[in-house]
Amino acid sequence: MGRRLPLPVLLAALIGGAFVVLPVVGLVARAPWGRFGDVLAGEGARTALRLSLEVSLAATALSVVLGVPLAWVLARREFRGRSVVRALVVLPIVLPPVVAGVGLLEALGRRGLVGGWLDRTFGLQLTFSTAGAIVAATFVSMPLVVLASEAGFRGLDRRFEQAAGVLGASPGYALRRVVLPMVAPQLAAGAVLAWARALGEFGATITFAGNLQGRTQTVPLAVFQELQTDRDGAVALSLVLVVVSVAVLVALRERIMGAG
Amino acid sequence: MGLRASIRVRRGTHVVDVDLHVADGEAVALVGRNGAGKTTVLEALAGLLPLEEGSIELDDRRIDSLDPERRGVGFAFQDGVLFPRMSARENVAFAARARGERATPARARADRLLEDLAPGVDPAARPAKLSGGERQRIALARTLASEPRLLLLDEPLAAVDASARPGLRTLLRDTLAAFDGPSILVTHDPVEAMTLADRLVLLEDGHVTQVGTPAEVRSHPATRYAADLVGVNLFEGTLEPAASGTGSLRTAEGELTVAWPDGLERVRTPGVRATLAPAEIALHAERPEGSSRNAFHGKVLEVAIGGSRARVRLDTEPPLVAEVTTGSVERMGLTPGTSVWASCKAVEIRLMVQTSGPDTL
Repeated sequence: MGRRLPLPVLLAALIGGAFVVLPVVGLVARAPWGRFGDVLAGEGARTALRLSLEVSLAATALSVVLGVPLAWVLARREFRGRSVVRALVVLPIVLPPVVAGVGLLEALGRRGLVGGWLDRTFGLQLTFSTAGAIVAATFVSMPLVVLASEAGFRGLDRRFEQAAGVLGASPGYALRRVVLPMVAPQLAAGAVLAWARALGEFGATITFAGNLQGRTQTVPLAVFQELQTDRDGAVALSLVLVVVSVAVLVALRERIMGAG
Repeated sequence: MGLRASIRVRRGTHVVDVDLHVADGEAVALVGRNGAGKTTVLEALAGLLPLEEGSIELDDRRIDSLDPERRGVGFAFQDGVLFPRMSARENVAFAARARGERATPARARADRLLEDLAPGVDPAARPAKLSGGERQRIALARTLASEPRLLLLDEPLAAVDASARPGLRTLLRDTLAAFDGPSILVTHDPVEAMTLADRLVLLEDGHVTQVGTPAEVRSHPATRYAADLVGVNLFEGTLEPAASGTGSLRTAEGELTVAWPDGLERVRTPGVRATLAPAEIALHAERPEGSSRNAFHGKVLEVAIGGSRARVRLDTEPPLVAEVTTGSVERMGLTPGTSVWASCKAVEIRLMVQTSGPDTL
């Protein structure tokens, strides 16, 4: 315990720690503190912030509505190929976002597998629309909801569902009144992680939905664009995302995971 | 009417193959060692485990293909399995709410049930705040609130402190007596089985090895397990008042002095059952002196040694099984035929009487 660490280990650890912290320090050091408010109040930044909030919240809601039932099926139903489905569901986590964007284009774009039909039947075009940005953000963030809630469902003693059933509850009623309240902490953790991921989404969005101010240009896309014209604006918007990320970490640590 | 079940299920490499007939109002104890398949039988009856073969008829209606929520079966799980995010009241009101009853009448009925079965428990308390005994009472109330036609109790006393057991045992006895459908109690505790059930069904390795009343199993144990099981001393007879707070329990095989139970009127009471744990019996080479009112003389029939303890069967009146240390067996030279005295304190003989008769309910 109290033994001294070898010098090379200590040195590597110090460099590693500094490496993680340094970019944040850089942002804080170079932030345009004098005109921070003005930059964020500007037309472009305001639009991007509002759009990011809308897109990320909508994507989180979709992820929960679709991801929790999927997690329940994966946790409680046995079927052939379940492990394959489970692997595919979490694929977007490791998939390069730009690849996800290309995939979404081929599937849901105007000439995509389903996109063409959507366009002809409902006149619905996802590319270059806010709906498209929401779809892209949902694609990358839903696996986080599925992972967290499936772990919650699997960790739950089946006898709670059995007890509810024997007492006369239909499976749906048991899920609503017994199971979901018991896994609420895991669902909330999954939703917060998904929201953070959706908020930071860049690659899939710009590839699939494009970079249109007011329609698909969320904060990360705005940062990318500002970087070429107004460096102060890019730094200020980046700091907003840093603050949100830190807040998410704190919330997950103390409120949801209850870790000390 | 009642329950007629023929159950065959496979669990891993084990096969459970059991026929059960339980009449309305009858309480059967399903007794067996851990792993004998007791809980499996209950799960099959409740619909939590599909039958491989067989049928289940409740009130002349086939229920084996129905979902658990449609069977009319109440299942009190071993450690209660109360819903942790609900109060005691919400747990008990759950069945009514699941059927679509409105919250207010359902909660009012839950409160009344809780008052009867778990007096002193705050209906708003979460299960985590309650003791094991209180949780078991709420689990029982929750099961009864679903108005089942068949009542299944899985080791209802296993997760309960020793201090809370007597009260809960009385409650279970009253509950089983008042329940008008068939009921099945799973246990591996012989005392529990004999005091709570009208009939025992002994289960070994997935198969029924003996069915009978406690007295029948005791007088003619069919297997070694049955013999071990009924190693507890059980007496049945007429209780008569005797000197200063004591009574005399007259059985067909002998007479015992017992402490008169609290709350029982001091009159001649027939049909009283009592148990005596073998470990409470002391053996002596000479007639014992002192306060023991119960002293019996007889010969050793059998000595069974297990670990550091030995069970000694005696042909006293009434016949007794004593449990002593192997040290005592050596010191006293106990072998079949040895003449010994057995004694026990009156207070160690536990009487099973219903202190709340039908007229007080």
